[in-house]
Parts: sequence; structure tokens; C-alpha cells
Amino acid sequence: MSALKWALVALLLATPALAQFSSFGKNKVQFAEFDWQKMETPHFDVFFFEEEKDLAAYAAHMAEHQYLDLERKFAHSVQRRIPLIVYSSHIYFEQTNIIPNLLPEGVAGFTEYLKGRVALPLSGSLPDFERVLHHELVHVFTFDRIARVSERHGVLDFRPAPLWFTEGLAEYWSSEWSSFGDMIIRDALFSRRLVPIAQMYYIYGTFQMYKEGESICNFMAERYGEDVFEQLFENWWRAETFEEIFSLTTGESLEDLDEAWVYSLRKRYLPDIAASDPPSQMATARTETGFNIKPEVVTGDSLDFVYFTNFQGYTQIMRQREGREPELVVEGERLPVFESLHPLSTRPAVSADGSLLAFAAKSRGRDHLYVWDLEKKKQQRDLSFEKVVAISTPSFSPDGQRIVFSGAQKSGLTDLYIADLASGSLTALTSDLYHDRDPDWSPDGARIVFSSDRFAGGRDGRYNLFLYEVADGSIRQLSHGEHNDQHPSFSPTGDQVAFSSDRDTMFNLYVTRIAGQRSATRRLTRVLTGAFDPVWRADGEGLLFSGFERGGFQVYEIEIAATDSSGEVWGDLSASAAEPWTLEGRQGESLFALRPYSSKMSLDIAQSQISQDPEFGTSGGIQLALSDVLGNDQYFFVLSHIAGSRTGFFDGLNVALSRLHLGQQLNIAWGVFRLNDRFSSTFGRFVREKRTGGYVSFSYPFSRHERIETRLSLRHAEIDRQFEGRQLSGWLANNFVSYTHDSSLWIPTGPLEGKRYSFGIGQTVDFKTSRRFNATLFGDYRHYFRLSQRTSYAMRYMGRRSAGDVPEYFSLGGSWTLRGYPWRSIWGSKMLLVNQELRFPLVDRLVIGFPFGDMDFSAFRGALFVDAGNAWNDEFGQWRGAVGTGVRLALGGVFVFRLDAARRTDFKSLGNNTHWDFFFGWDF
Amino acid sequence: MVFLPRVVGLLCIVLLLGGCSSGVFYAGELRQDPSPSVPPLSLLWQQKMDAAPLGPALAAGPLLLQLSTAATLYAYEQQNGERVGKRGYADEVCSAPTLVGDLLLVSTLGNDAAVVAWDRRQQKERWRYAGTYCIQTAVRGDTAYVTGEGGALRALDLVNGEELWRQRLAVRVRVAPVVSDEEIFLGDGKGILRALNRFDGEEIWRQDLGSGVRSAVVAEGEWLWVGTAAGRVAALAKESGELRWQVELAALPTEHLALTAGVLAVGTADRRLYGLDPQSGEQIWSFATQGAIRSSPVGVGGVFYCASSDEYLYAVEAESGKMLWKFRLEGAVIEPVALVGGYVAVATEKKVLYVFGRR
Repeated sequence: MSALKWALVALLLATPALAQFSSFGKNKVQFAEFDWQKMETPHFDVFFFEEEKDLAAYAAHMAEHQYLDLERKFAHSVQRRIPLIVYSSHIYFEQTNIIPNLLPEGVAGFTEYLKGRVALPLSGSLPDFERVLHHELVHVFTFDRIARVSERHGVLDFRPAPLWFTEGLAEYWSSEWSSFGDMIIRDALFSRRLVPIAQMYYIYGTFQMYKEGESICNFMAERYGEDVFEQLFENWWRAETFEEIFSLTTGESLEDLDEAWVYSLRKRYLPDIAASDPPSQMATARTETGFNIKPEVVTGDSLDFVYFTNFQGYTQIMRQREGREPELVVEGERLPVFESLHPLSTRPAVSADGSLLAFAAKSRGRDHLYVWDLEKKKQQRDLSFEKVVAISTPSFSPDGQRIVFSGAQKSGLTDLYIADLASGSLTALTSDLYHDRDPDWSPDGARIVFSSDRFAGGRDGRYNLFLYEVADGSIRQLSHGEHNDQHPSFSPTGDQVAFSSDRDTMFNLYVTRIAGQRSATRRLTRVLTGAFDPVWRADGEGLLFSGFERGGFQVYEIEIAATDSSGEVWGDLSASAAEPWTLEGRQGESLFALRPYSSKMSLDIAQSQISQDPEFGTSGGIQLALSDVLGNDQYFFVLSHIAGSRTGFFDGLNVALSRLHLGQQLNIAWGVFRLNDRFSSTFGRFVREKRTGGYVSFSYPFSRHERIETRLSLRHAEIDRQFEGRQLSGWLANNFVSYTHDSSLWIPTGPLEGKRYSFGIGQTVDFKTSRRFNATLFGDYRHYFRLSQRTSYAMRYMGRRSAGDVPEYFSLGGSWTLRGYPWRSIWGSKMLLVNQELRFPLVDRLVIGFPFGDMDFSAFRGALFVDAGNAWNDEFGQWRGAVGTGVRLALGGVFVFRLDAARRTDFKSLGNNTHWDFFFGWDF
Repeated sequence: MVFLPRVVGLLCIVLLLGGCSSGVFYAGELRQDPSPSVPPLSLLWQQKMDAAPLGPALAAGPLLLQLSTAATLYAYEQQNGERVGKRGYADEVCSAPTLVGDLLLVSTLGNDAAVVAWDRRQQKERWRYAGTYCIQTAVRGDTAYVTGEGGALRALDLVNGEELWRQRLAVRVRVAPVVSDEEIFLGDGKGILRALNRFDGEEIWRQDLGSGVRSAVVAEGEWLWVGTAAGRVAALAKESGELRWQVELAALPTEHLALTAGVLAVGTADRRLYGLDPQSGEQIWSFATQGAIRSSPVGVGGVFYCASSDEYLYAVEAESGKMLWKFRLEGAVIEPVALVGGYVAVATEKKVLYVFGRR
């Protein structure tokens, strides 16, 4: 037994010298530093920073309110304090260290189970913030209720609920059934994509799963009574599986429920087809493949528009001109400069003369407003504003000199702003707590129409349309009602506004005609699913819009009769109420105790292990991980011992303590260690070493994709390089610096598109004699070319060189380096490796039926490869190569099973023997 | 010599796991004359159990019996808390126990799911009726009424466990039936409250309460009271099932309602104990705690005793709803507060059994 797993963990945490090469991976960057504080309510510790104090007080108030609601629904009190971490913007939320994962824009909040923390951002809408908070608290109660009932009955294992149920219940108990829910379920039903409960894993974690889950929970409450959920939780201890718990609680099987639920949906929705159609049946599709949304018309005689597309995993801005192939205008999400184009929350804008394109994009921790020359596809302006963190929905003034947009401050409140392109100055049009969004400038420049919750119904999350008079700043209400009116767009003549509204259950297109102080609205579409983002064609006789069908969006075009006035009902424009609703609890500081944030550590992980080996004796160890509530400060402690060692107690002892500070852009780690084990880098040789010392390391991410790292360590080492029969000892100082870039796009088996590269240099010096042990140079470049939706060509070029009295040795061979050769069989102080690989899908979805249920393998892929490389000391010798093929199978999103068959080649002839390599791990 | 104690210990563990008994569970039916339970009360004793309680404490002459979720039955001296008996069942238990005379009726789960009648005097199983009946057994005279959650109602001979009659209701049942001289009152998950003839199970009347029945019926005089899943409390005429009144409390009620001094009390998940006029349904008072109330209250001598998830036991004056006394417990309380002799007993999720009284 050469090592305990604890010691391996210690290697990861504290390895200071030989394995100094950085690994790939994207960065979570702390662009903003916050002065955190804590607000204590009866049940919550609310963590916030100074600028969002009002939001925190409001969150605290709402959390207490919602706690009582859920206490009633669950008939259960959570008897621990719940940490609630509030972020005023999704941009800040993405920087959280509470969980290590990178958070996509679609994540509206999360509940973390290790410490029971809830974290969520404000997206602009306070009612929506409330809904997300409520949703997350349902998770807190669900988890606590299950844990407590299990504990009460002595059930030691945690029996998790299926995700469709936990998310469905959270949706059901946090909000009313919405038009979006109707849209998803209707579409799934009519396009035969509705997934039954037994096969919910097909849509695991998707929005459709959330909405189907919500629909099922809604149906369960109707069928069995609202208290069925409380009964389910109370019975949680009585059976191993959710199916059994459900059955003994309701007396029915999940199959019975499924059948009854689908029948009820058919009964409810099928009649709708008589009066409405999916977008493809009532409009002309202008895009075909991928996910296409938010069209914006470029002025001209023929149809010409830009739009967001997400065809292959990245969001881009495309241009579609009649009779031509779509053109790429802005390539997003590959480089730090356009880290995100926010396709769900914003839209591109085109100037009246069609020459300029404006769009918002996230870059280095805040949104920027970019202005491009549309023809030359070149950037003209890059505007960012100290006051504004997030930017959405820009719209040009008629003269193209100014842009109005919706912007969020550090406090989280979202208002309208005008940016002057010449001076870069910023003017706020509104400044209040209401969520003002989707501004569109009228062709005469006198008005700006926008969507807002600045009316009584806004408190319930509804939006109406408003007109902002540029001359005097007055605001008048253009539409009225308890529904959502959004995405307004002025007609080319300026007397009509097209918009999307769910006033008749589904999101449809409407037009409001404005004449002086009066307006009239008529309905344009009867879409079965949903129509959004209308924009006028240049001739004013047609609209482009985003239509939802078959689980995705496309851009459609419809003709409209501009003079049609059927169904119009005229009404007066009214002045907007000054303060239609207010926030409860905004003066929270007077209600709840405020405390400065203290970086108090609590346990994340505590594990221990003991094992016995007849040859090596008893070994054991413990591992502890502690962090503060924000995850900014983390400690790791590892202690292990091999008691059977012949050389006494201390020889068998491995101890390492590391501290990570992640609360700022410069990440700092330090540690001390005393280790006696075998060490190796990924591509290095194993050496046995006793090492005692410490290290400090710095990592500075410039963006999500790029970082520079350096580390300095000092250790006393006793090195036994068994492979070359040398033993060394002394005080060694080691330092290295590296640069890493990673903009790859992954599928479950590994990277599919993009590039990753890393290069660096390091050296190890005998501290006492100043003798240089070695200096090492390394480079690793990987590029993935996408050939089709799921096929790519991957290449890797890697080189390493170590020189000095005691050089490092690198090894090749095995599935992850040079296939067809035994693992780490080729080694030397210099190494070159080239891999070329074609990656392609074999079977889209493989479902194998087992007695205990179906298993779904969604990524069963193949590879054809050519590898070439060598590791050497003095003479290169000749290239060693292999050609072959392999299969990869993703198992549950955690493991990738790889099997390669390779034949060696010297690039003159091919060997006769087939060498098999088996491996668990992602593609390079 | 070291070997022997180990063998004995091991045997004890095996016996306990297999269902062994030790100690005393029967000490005669003569009751001592306890002090009246008038607050403020004193903590007389407390005992730690191996698991959370299942059901309320039971009075067994001078003893107090408490079943735990680990299927262990404890017997304590009521006066001083001395543990005199401890018995482990082999199976998981799933219902609160019922004590009638020498017999303790408990429902078990698993492959041998049954209602088990255990003779605490003889310390042996008297009979066993197979089936899953995870609702507390009701007893009247020499008949036991066992109910399955699926709506199966059986009348059993208490002496030998033989089935006397059966009634299949085909609806989900969540609370125990209540038996009077002539009728069985049983509410179901659909909200139908039935009165059945207790001698043959034939239906006498039914009343639709609109949502699932979540609390056992309280029957007194010509009246019945019951709580539903919609958070309503309803009063009905015992004779005809006619609905007299309904009030909305908007939160799940406790499994049992309590009645004393002309006030009907119901605890709810919205943290409150409500005092209602049993004749009109008018809310007389509400008493707020700091946690969901899931533990059923008990009323005696014009005082309601009520425990909450806020880890307090409260004494509330029936007439005014004023708090007379409270005591901080270790752990939340789910199971009902019990009157055992003249004592007030309550057991918490933290496995601690408390007994209060006047010194």
C-alpha cells in the first residue's frame, strides 16, 4: 500500500514542487469586492453588502413572511437558523463561492444542503425575487422535514425525493400557475413531447421538468387534497423509494397518477386547438435550426434582421437578409470581452439608418454597452458605467446619437437610462424601485415606450406599458390590467405599438394605436403556445417575432393590416401613479439586528477512514474542510498515518493544512505540510519523498477564461528517485508561473468546441547551496473544431522540458496520452505529444431496460485517433505513434467510460497487435 | 470469567432485537390520588429514551407507559420516574398504542404487519391480526376497531382477535375512528365523515365536510367536532350528522381536539392554539406560540396543555386563553400531550420524556 487517499488529497492541496503545472478549467472571478454585513431575523441570517441594504431588509421581511406560510403548509418548523445570501445582481451572484460550480444565467437561485444556505440574486423584478426566495425556502423545508422525520424514526440513510417532485412542489408552493407553464405544457402536449413521470429523467433539470413537476403537484393537490404533500413527508420513513411512499400515502401508484394527470391535461388543453395554432401554422418561419430569438429589423426594402442564436452552445448575433445565408455578426461567449450576451433578458438594437448595432454584453464583471458598425462588423464604442452593473434592451434614438436602455445599479434597482454615444455620459430617466424594462424609442424621438411594474398590479409581478415623454419626463400609462404586457415596439410611423401580452392566458401579439391622448388595442394573433418580441417590418405591414414551438424558439413573420381597427376599444392615456406600491420591510434596519460580517468557520466535510493490510499494517486518516458562510475563506486539514511503517510513528505521518482565500480577484492560498508519500504530476514519474515545508500561491483570473498563477514553496525534502536509484535531500525552494486559457464548450464526454492552452515555467533550487535542481518549461495547446452539431475534430500539442542537476521526468503511455503503449512506459526529461482525434456520436440515446428500471445513456460516442509522441533524455530517437478507434460512454454525468483499441505505428508501417486501453475520464 | 458477561450482553441484545421483555409493565389498576394538575406545575422527572416517542404516554395504574419509534415500550413509576420495564418489539411499529386493561394494542409494519395485542401482565403476545393498520386502534367494550389507511375497517374480538365483521370504505383514512355506545365515527381523506353502527358496520349517516378529515372526532352529548385538512373545524349533530357550524382556521389542525370548561381547543400549524365556543364555533381566543403546533392539546380542569415546535409546553386558561405557565423542553413536540393520572406528560423529538405535576 503506497498511499492513503487522504495523502492523495493532501497532494492536491499542498503539492508545492514537482507537480507544479496548472490544470484547465474556467474561473469564477471576484470582480467586485463587497463589505458584507449580517441582518438577524427570528429565523434567518441575511447576508448582504452595504449597497443592497434596502434589498436585504426587504428580503428579510419576505423570508419571515414566507417562513410562516411554509410552516403552515409543511406543518413543520425549521429549528435552525437559515443563512440567506442576497445578491443585487445576477452578475454578482455568479461570483459566489458558496458552491464551486459556475452558475449559468438560467439559475435564479439555489439552496445548498451542506450548510443549508440559500443564495439568490435580484433579477430586476422584486416580485420575481420574492417568488424565487419562496421557491428556495420550499427546498429548505422539504429537506428539513424529510431529515427530521427520518431521524425521528431512526432512518439513517437520506432518501432523496425525485427532482421533478422537489422542483415541482417548490414551483407549486411558491407561485400561481403562470402563462409560461401553460405554454410549456401545451407545447409538450401538442408536439407529443410530454414526458411521463416514469421517464422524467429524459428532461432532468430542464424548464420543462420544472413545469411538468408543478403541473403534477397541482394535480396531486386536486386529486388527493392539499395536505397530500404533508402526508407524503410524514410517511417518508416508511419506504425506501418515492414510488412506495407515494403508494402507501395515496393508495395509488405513480402510474395511476400519471395516467390521470395526462388525461386531465388532454381534457383541459385539447379543445384549444380549435381556436388557436402553433406559430408554424399561422406565420412564416424565418429561421430554422437552433434556438433563435429577439429579432431586430434593419431598415431597408427587403427583409433584413439581426437576432440572437444559440445553435451550437454559444450565443451569437446573426444577420439574416432575404435570399442570403445567415451571417455571423457578433461571436459571443468565447472570449472574455463578450462573456455573455444575455439572450434571455435583452435584445440587440439597430439604428434607424441601419448602420449601427447596439447590444449589451458581460465583460469582466459588469455589462458593457457595445456599438458596432453593422456592415463592417467592427466595434465602434464600448461603454460601461460606474453606476450601472447590468444593462439590457438598448434602443437607439432616431438620430443614432443616444441609446436608451434598462440598467441595474449596485443596489439592484432597475431603471431607464440614456447614454450619449459621443460623450459617454449617462442620464437616468427613472429612479425608483419599479422594474422598468424593454424601452423602445419612438421614430420622432419624442417618446419612449417601456414595460414596467409601476402600477398596482405590479406588486403581484404584472407588467403594463408606459410612455415616457422625453421633453418633460412625464410618464403615462398606456395599457392597463392584471396581466403581463412586454416587449413594446413602435411602428415605423410612430402611431402604433406592438407588444406581447398574456392578457388572454397565452402570450400573444397585440397592437395599440395611439392618437393624441387616447389609445386603442387590438389582438393580432391566437397562438397556441407563445409569441414574443414583436418588431415592425420596415414597411409597417408586417411583424417579426419570437415564437415558441416544439420546445424551442424561432423567428417568424406575419403580415398585418395596418388599417385594421376591428376589435379596438378606445381609452384615455392616464398619468402614472407616483407611488402605486411600496416595499414592505424596507426600513428593516429598525426591525432586525445588524451585525458586521465575521468570517466564522463551520464544517463542510469531516471524513475518516481506517483500513488494514496484511503487509503494510493499519492505516487511517481524517479529512476536514471548513469554510465561512460565504465560502470566501476555506481551510482544509488532512491527517493520515500508516501504523505499520517500519520506520516509526513520525515516518508514517502525513499532515497538511491549507487555507484558501477567494474573496477577491486575486485568489491566495497558503499551506504547511509534512508528507511522506509517492508524488507525481499527471505526466510525471513517481518519486518517494518526505517533505516538510510550506507554500504560498496566487491565482489571478482576468476573466472566466484566462488566469495567471504563481506559487512559491520552501520545503525540506528527502527524495528517493527509485526509478533512477538516486537519493537526495536538502532545503528546496520552488517557484513557477503559468498562464492558462480555457474557452472550451463541453458535452458529457469532454470538450466539443473551443480551445484550451496553458504554458509556464518553473524552477527548483537548493536553498542552502543555491544549486539549481531543475528548471522546467511546459506548454499545452488544445483546439476543438466543431464539424457539425455533435461532431468535432480535436487536436492537442504538448511539450515539456526539464533541465538541471535533478531534472523532472515526464512519462507517456496509456489512454490519456499515447494510446497503444503501456501506462507511463515511456519517460524522459523532455517530452513531446501530438494527438489528433475525430469525435462523433454513435448512438444518440441508449436505453437499457433492467428489472429495477430503465437506464438511459445519453452520450454514447465514438473516436478515431492518431497519436504521436516521445519522451527522451539525450536523443529524441524516433516518433512513437498509434492509430485507433474508441468508444466513450457517459455514465450519469459523473464518469466517462473510455475504451480505445490502438495499433502502434512508426509512421512507416502499422503494427499487427491491437492494444486495448480502458480508462475512466473525459476526453482530452 | 470475562467471557461470561459478554455472552450475557450479547444475548440481551439478541433478545431485545428479537422482541424481549424485561421488568414490570403491570402494577395493578389501583390509582394513587395524584395532585390536581393546576399550573404552575413542577417538573417531577424526566427520562431519556432510545428514540423519539410514538403516541402519547399512557396511564397504566401507577405506571406510565411510553412507546418509542424504535419499537421500545418503557414503563416508569409515575411518581418518581423510576424505570421499571423496557420491552423491544421485533418489528417496526407504525401507530400510537392503545391500552385497554391488560392489553396493549400496537400496529407493526413489515412482512408480518399486524395489529398485535400484548398482554402486559403475562408479558406475552395474546393475539395478532395480520395486515397493515397504521392507525391507532379504537376500543369499545370487548371489541377492537382496527383501521387501515386504505379504508379497511375491521371489528375484532378483543379477547382472541377474531374478526367479527368488516367494512370496506374504499377511501383513504388518516385518523383513528372514535367509538361511542352505538356508533363508530370515521372521517376519510375525501372529507366524508361517517357514522357506522358499531355492531355491524352499517352506515347510519354521512356528511361531506369538503376536505379530508385530519382530526379524530370529539363526541360529547349530542355533538361531534372534527377538524379538516383545509383548516376548518366543523360541528355536527351526533344523531343525524347535520352540520351545525364550520369555522376556518386556515392551517392544518392537530390530530386531536380538546374540550374542557365549555371550550373547544384546536392547535394548528400556524402556531396558534384556538379556543372555540363548541356551540357556535365562535373564536373566543387564540394563543400564539413560536412554532407550528403538531402536538395535540389536552384539556383538564379548565386548563389546556399544549406543546409546540418552539420547544415549550404551555398551560393556557380555557376561559380566557391566557398563558398560565410554560416550560422550556429539549426538543420540539410532535406527539400529543397526555394526562397520566394527575400528571402531565410530554415527550420530545429529542427523546426526552417529561412528567409534570404538583409537588
